[in-house]
Amino acid sequence: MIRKSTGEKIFQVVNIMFMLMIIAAILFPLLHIFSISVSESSAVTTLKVGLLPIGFNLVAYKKIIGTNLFQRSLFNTVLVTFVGTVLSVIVITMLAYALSRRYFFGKKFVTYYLVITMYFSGGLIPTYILITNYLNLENTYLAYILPSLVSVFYVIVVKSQIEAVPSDLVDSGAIDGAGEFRILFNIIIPVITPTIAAVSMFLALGRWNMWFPVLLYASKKTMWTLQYYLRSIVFEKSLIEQTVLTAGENIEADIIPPQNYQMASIIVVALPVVCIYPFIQKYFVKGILAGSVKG
Amino acid sequence: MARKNDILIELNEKRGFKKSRDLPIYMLLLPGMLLLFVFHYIPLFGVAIAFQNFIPFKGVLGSQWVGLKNFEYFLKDQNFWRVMKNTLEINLLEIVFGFPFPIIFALLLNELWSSKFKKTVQTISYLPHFISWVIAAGIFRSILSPSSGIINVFLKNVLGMQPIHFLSIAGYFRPILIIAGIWKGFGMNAVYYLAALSSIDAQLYEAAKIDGAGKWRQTWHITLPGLKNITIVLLVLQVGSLVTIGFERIFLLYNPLVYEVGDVISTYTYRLGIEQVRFSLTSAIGLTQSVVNFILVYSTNRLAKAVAGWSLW
Repeated sequence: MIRKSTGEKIFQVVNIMFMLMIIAAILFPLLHIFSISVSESSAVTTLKVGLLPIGFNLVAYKKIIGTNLFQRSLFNTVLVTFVGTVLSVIVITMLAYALSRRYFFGKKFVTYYLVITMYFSGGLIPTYILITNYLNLENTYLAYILPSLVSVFYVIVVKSQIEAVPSDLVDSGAIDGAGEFRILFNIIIPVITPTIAAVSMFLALGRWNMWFPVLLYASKKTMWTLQYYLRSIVFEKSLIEQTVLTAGENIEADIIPPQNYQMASIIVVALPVVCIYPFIQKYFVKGILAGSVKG
Repeated sequence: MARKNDILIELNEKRGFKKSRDLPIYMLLLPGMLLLFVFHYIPLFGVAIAFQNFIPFKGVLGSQWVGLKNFEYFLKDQNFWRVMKNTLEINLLEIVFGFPFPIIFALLLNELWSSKFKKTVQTISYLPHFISWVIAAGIFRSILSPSSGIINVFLKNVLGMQPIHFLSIAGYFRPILIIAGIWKGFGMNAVYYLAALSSIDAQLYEAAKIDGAGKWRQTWHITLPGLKNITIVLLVLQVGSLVTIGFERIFLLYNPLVYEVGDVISTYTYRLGIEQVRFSLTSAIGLTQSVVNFILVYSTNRLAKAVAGWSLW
């Protein structure tokens, strides 16, 4: 046991206090929002709620969860997250496996073809025109799923993992007469499952948090996602607040949800991720580091 | 048996097209390459509309070609130079204030004695990374709200001040933007530095201690050099994403009152292109932006190579 000097002890105490402040800076805002969402409306309207709830009521939650719009948005989010992630992982793994082969005719071309997409893109407007004018994908799930289905970055991550699979294992399968698809499914995928799981989680989180394509491509409320739903609920209010300053009171005031309602929507949308993340964070850390090695 | 021979040949890496070997591989490549063609390469060639007066119902082939007219137009446009200036300034602030924070956090976290506390802090620090910008911006907007936000309630009740419209005052907007960025990203960004710290050879510290080096000198001569490479990588990447950085954050926090200091290329492009439907003009800006971006990535990469002997490619 090494004796610590007084200076080191003081530093340690200061350091711990700094870390506690960091924890507070992250958790207090969330706690405050949560407390407003479950407090009595009288305490909320008089702005008395600080860190802890005053009284208890779940009316706002019941209201939100009961609306068609919320249920529909939740359904859309789950659907897009699930289908988008599964399709992405399949296509990415197929690309990664093919590229991990030592040689095939045109490998160099394919590599350039993929890497170029990481550095150059047509940008927002050409993509928007393509999807709305030429492919007519407005108000379809395809507009949310297809454009971002292939991420070359993850192809490289998965490919480097496949290359790390001992070649004896692959060659023995090849000599037994297994085709490419069987080698991929029976030999490669079982070995790289942790990587595929990590990549799936990255992709799923991205899909779950998606809202911008909704803004671009959805004109119907039935196509909203949870994040877009939240954006409308929270942000229209502040939009309205601003407009009230300039335009007087004649805006549809009854549409403005009470504060409980807004805070409860934030919590409802945040809750699944907040509950799950402690269990999946280690995959993210691994994935980030794997990406930084090869990316 | 034919199959077996093919594979033996493959192991010898025979060049040229070989149907039985290459066709299955092409089938694996096909869906991904097709998707990239449609959603990446077609828009890439679609930037041609930057040189047109594009009219949607006439299409790309039917619209009139106007040469560099769109480029001339926006180079004369004051708004363009304003968003250009904002983009650079906000990024500079981000690099000066936002970029070092994860490094400091990682260094301090690494010094904690209790590994349990360390792990707890680290796990909590990841939380903001997992929630979306919509939620994060929602939280920031709520606590900063002039009428009901807790900060203004505090200012009013405790300090007796008038409410401050934080998100509508130019002077406050950029600091809030930077703080929001740090809040959301520092935990995950620290991961890179913590990994680098844990890969520093413990023997170096032992040797330094025997030589009588104190904590500060160890940090200066061993720890910081150990972080040099990853710091340069991340700095290059940060500069590389300069033009697109912070779109969601700014888009979800700004309003017309702070366009003067908060409007950046990506948000301007969105408003001009999608809301005002000026497709050709916006594509011209987008194209310029890509070129500038590529030059930036390329030159910072060269700089990194010259300074640190390290580069992305």
